[in-house]
Amino acid sequence: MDSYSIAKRALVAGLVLALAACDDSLTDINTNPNAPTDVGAEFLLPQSIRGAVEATFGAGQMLSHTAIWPQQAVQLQYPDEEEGSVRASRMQSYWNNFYVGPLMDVQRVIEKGVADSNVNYEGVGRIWKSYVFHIVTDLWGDVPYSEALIGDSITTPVYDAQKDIYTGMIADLTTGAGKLSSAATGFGSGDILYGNDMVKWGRFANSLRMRLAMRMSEVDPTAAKAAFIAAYSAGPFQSNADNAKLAWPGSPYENPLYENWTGRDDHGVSATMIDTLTSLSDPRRELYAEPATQDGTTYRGQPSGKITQEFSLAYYSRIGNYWRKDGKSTPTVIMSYSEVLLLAAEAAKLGWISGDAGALYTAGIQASMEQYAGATNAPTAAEITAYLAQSAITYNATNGLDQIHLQQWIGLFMGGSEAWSNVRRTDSPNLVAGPDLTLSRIPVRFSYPALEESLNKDNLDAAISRQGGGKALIDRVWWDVN
Amino acid sequence: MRRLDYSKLAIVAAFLMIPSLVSGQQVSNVSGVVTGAGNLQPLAGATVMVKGTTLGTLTSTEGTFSLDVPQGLTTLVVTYLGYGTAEVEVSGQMQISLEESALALDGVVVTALGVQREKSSLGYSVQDLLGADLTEVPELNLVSALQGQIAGLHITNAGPTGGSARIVIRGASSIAGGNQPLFIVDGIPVDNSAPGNRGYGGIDYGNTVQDIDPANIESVSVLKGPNAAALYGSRASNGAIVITTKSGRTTSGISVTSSLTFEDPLRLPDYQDEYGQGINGEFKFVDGAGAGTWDFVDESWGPKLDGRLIDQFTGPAQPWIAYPNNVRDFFRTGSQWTTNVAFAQSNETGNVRLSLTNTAVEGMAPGEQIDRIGVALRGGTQVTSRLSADASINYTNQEANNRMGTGYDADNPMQSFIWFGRQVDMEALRNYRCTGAETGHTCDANGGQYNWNYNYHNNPFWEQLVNTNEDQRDRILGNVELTYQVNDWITATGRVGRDWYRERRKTVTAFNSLDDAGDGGFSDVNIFDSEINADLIVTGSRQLTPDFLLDVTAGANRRSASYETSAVSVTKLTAPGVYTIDNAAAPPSPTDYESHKEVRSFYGSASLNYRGYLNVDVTGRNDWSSTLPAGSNSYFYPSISSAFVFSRFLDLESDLLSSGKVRASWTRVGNDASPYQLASVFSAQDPYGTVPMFAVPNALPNTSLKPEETTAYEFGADLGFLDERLGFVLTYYNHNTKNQILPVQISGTTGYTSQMLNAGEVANSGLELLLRATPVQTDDFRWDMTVNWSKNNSEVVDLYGDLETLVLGSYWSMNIEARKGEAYGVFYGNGYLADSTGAWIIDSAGRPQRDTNREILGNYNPDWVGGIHNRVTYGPFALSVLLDGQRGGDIFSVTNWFGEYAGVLESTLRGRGTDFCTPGIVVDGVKADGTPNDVTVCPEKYFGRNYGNQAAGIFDASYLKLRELRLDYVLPDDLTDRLGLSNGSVALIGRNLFLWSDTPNIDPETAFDAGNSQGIEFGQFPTARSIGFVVSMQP
Repeated sequence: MDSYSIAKRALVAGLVLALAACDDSLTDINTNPNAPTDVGAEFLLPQSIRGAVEATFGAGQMLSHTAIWPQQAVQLQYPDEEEGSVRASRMQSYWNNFYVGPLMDVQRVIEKGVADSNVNYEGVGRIWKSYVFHIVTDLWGDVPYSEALIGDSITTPVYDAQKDIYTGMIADLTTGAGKLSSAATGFGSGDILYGNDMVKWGRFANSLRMRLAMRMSEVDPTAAKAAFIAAYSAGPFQSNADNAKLAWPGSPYENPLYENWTGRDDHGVSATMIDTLTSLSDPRRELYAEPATQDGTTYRGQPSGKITQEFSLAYYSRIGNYWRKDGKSTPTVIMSYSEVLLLAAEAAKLGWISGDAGALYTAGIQASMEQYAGATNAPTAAEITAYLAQSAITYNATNGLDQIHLQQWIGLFMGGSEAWSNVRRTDSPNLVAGPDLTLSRIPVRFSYPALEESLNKDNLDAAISRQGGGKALIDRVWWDVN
Repeated sequence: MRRLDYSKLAIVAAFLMIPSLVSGQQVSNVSGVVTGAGNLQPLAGATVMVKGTTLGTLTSTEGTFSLDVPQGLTTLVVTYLGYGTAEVEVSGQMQISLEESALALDGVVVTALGVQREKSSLGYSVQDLLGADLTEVPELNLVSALQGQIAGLHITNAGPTGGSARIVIRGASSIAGGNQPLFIVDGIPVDNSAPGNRGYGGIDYGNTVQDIDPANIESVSVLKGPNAAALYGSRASNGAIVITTKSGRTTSGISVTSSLTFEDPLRLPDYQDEYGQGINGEFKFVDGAGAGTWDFVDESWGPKLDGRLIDQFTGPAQPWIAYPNNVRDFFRTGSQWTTNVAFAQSNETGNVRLSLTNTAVEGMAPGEQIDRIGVALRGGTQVTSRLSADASINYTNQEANNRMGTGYDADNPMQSFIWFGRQVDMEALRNYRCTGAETGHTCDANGGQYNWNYNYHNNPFWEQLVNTNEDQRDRILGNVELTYQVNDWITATGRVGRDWYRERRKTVTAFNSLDDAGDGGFSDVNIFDSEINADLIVTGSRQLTPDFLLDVTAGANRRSASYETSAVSVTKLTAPGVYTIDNAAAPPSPTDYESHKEVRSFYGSASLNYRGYLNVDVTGRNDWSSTLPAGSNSYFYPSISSAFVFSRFLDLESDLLSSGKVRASWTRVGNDASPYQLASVFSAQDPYGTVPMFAVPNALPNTSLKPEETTAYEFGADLGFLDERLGFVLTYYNHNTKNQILPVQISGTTGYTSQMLNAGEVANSGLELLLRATPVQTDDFRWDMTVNWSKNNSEVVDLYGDLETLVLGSYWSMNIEARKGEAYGVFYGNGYLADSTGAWIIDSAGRPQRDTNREILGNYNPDWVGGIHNRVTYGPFALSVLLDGQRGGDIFSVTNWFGEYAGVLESTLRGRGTDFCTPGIVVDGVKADGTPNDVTVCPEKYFGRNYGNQAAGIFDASYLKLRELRLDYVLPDDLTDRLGLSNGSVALIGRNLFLWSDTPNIDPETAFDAGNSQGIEFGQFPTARSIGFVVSMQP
């Protein structure tokens, strides 16, 4: 049976070949050749900065939500959010975009800073993390903070009370600023906000701390005052040169409002803003808004919270070309010197700090106007002087707080969600809901995303019961007392 | 006409002349001829085997054979696909005649590994089709050609010419992975992916199995469940479609076939022709971008089309009239011309077949074109007396231009027809280039469009003819096989095959297009895909005792797959009309990606047959995969099946019950992961200026992944009555897939959106019924009928922990989900706000409201799917009719949903019979206080309520289609003699001739792509109704 034994041997040999070296070489084939499994912090920081700014100052989140509810911008088409109805998918994607994107990226920066004992990585990381988290908590109230961003160990993080989040952020800003050192290693080209200038990062941290402190002015004035004094004395922005602003290098990273202009044209400036600026002869009007294309001269805003228009689209003012048509490389200002001065003015008025509230208020207005120096339609020195000379503008202690709040509101135009957060706190200027708003008041928060109900239900329920709400847009957050 | 169709035998194929093979044994030579009993036509390529051995041969083209039979063995078994098996005693010069019978248990069918098995011995469900059934009406996509003919198959066509067709057998069971069966050609797996197709806009480039030319197919066997495919590996857990191509053994001579068909849209929406573009009954064109009165909107709530003079895009003071056929006029009559020439020849030692096919398609969309060339060469030879060799190579080249885009995207002109002005004259739009003479619109120096709207949409002709796309694919399928007859009962085969293709796709956007800043751009993608399979298989067949016949197979396989892609996208050009990287005005975005995978397997099967009526099959396979963690990358999967021909056992066979078999099987199949799931990687971002950036990965990996597991069982019966004039095949199946390798969503607050886990369990169960009957059979008239019907119930049994649902896809906030406790593929969205009696709660303005609580609104799975095929022959005429359809299943039709919002559909005439808001609509429902609604609302506001309320867009997708019709005429002999031909026929053919359905405005058989997220429609490319003729001849 010759052929049979040959066959048998061939068969065995063949099978042995097939099974040979099964494990080792097989696993090597599964090493991903396409991307690295670890990278340095200098590559993660710019991604976090860019992602957070695009989200907060982008057309979706800002133009359709956080800029229309303080009645600064207005939806001319698809005015669902004007009516008070938001898309569940957007609430979900904004939530995920913050946590999974910029927050996770900056969390890694901090972890690497701690692991490598790099003080600037850790310092800048803590500062930026607090910046992004304050946006998130001001939008959603109680959110996961202390247990967030560690998916390897915790898949259902607890929702912290906003009070504790504020405490945490203020602590992180203090620690972070304290760690910074101009002598230590920076991020190379990766610091796209301040170019490794640790002094400015420190001033940004202190300015942001002032903002957070003032946010608590209604709900916990004692803590607010203490935190404000600490931040103010630590040293915030000294001039417009310190402004936290992100420059856009060009495609694919261009000013989000410019990108929106190239595609859609669904928004305009609100009647509230236009009428306010017109009545005050405010030179910022020509910058903030464009005259209606219909005649090229009239400034006309669409009333907020109203879904029908009296006229055809060509009759309404759009948001200024500074951000849109000419806005391709217009930098996005995250926080400005003007805001710092006006916060200080308010603190002085409240007696928290010594200082001339009126002088600080005037300087704040001036800083806001000068912030745009160089732009077409930027307020000129003469216009600034004329404006300040008006009796309505001149500081007057009796209604000083309202004057300060009004200038804060005007100055924060196109400032992300800050105008909305500030007006929620101050309720000044007094905004009257439009006729088509289907809610009992203008929205004061984002609703919790639907997926959290299936993915982290117990913690979400605890947070909702602690706040007395959270799924409806009209449920206030902790610091929004009235 | 001679029937030369036959199925190739991959393993038992090399039947040799073996004069002195079996050493020391006496042999005697036996020869004869095999014919078909009905017509006495010789059968070429029939198998003649010595029973109880693997010795045998194939008949020649004249049906003759010659075979050396060892002494002591006296029975020959003769088989031929489509005919009953004959067992005959050896005699001198044999005349063997086979009975034609499609359903007979005596017949053979090709199963896993290309083994030809007696149908009576199969314990699992297999259904076969002859190549001729597939080519009755020429179809560009092989998957679509299978439609309506096999029980248990659910096929959905995506619509565009050359687009994807999705095929699912017995329900979808994988949540994250593929659900399509494995395609095998001559023993080699072939790729059927559709990389890069998107649902939410883009181009449907079609699924790649379209490269297989139906003209080269001898037969197809559909192995429906994991049971039938436990020998092909885990990719066949969703079933396998085993294709055998024609060879020189089974065909001979020259044949030429040419077909020409013309296509028109089968169904387009019913548009309204009473009101034109505008809002609130007003419209005036100034610049189409807002300077006029509502001239920027793309809705038709404007003035009544009563002929009054209104400024329009065509000029000032134009008559305001309807153009009812404007959308239909955009399309042209398409055509498809296919010609196939084949040459085949064989002798005692070798055979060869060469086939050439050319297909030229002009699609219904302007500028659309697909050209395909196919070359197939197959040959075999006996190298020595024991060794034979076979090789085949298939080359396909496809080039396409201007495929129409799909989905909700500017690529898709249908999007601009849903948001449209009913007064727009399509003929005026044919002049799509701006000349400078247009009213109200400044022509850009870089060349621009002329359009009815300059705010939202491109001119549709511009979109097709200026924003062009092109794609080319070259594909080679090749294999080489050596078979060695070790002794009279053992055969060894070695086979290596490769499936290899390169594809290039380029799409361009011209300056002054409306979906970006107007400065043009392009994208260029290169794809390379290759899979190599090497198999070593040893087969033995031995009659152990007179009652027991044992067949044993043992094999090893090594499979190595590679996929590479590189692409560049440019979003801004310097000079118009030049689409190269050098002309990029902004930094181009390049990407590349590659993946590799290897699987090594060892498999075996044993089949024991007792007296021809009881059969038990056992199989086992073990895979080692590169994509699972070392140490747990091995998984074993067995199966067992049994068939019992009770009619033979109980000797029941009579004229009434001519055959009866019951069968049962059980199997378990494992499945591995895609490559690189065990570690997550940082994704590089476009640099910020010159600053490099990376992002932390969003997926939390799992270093301890295990293989997935599918467990299935089925049982059924095959019954034949009235001398095989009537037959039933019934199957009940149940299969369950668990430990699925899934990216399970976790709260984004963890910093990750998903975690890779073994989770999820999906169960599918159902019934398949196949009925074949020959109601009438006389000398010159015959009527055959085949009915197939299947019903599948699926359930997502479990996901992970408390997870309730997994979103498969989401469109306009309408989710398609795998939801625990529900069928796979439910729709989850917002319905109408209603009270406890179900009455709509109407708001103060008279409009229905959206319920903010989201709920299940339907699901895309049909209740049942079926088809009826009738074939009538009378003399030289034959008529074949195929009807197929589905009952149940829902579709979310955004064409209807947005079409109502935009006021273009006929249904939006409700309430504006007299004028744009007269008489208005009083919606049936109750007011907030519970009293019946009495508020009149304008139709524009009423239909505007659709947005956000997905229930308004969900419809039942039941349909019945007259899928194919063919009328043949075999040319009479005197005519063919005069023309110098041996055979000739002409036929009239038609496909998708009629659609009966209650789904408004669209063809409910629709898809964006072949993925798991189905049941959504937007701007579907109209189904083509094609009519034409075929000529075939043999010189």
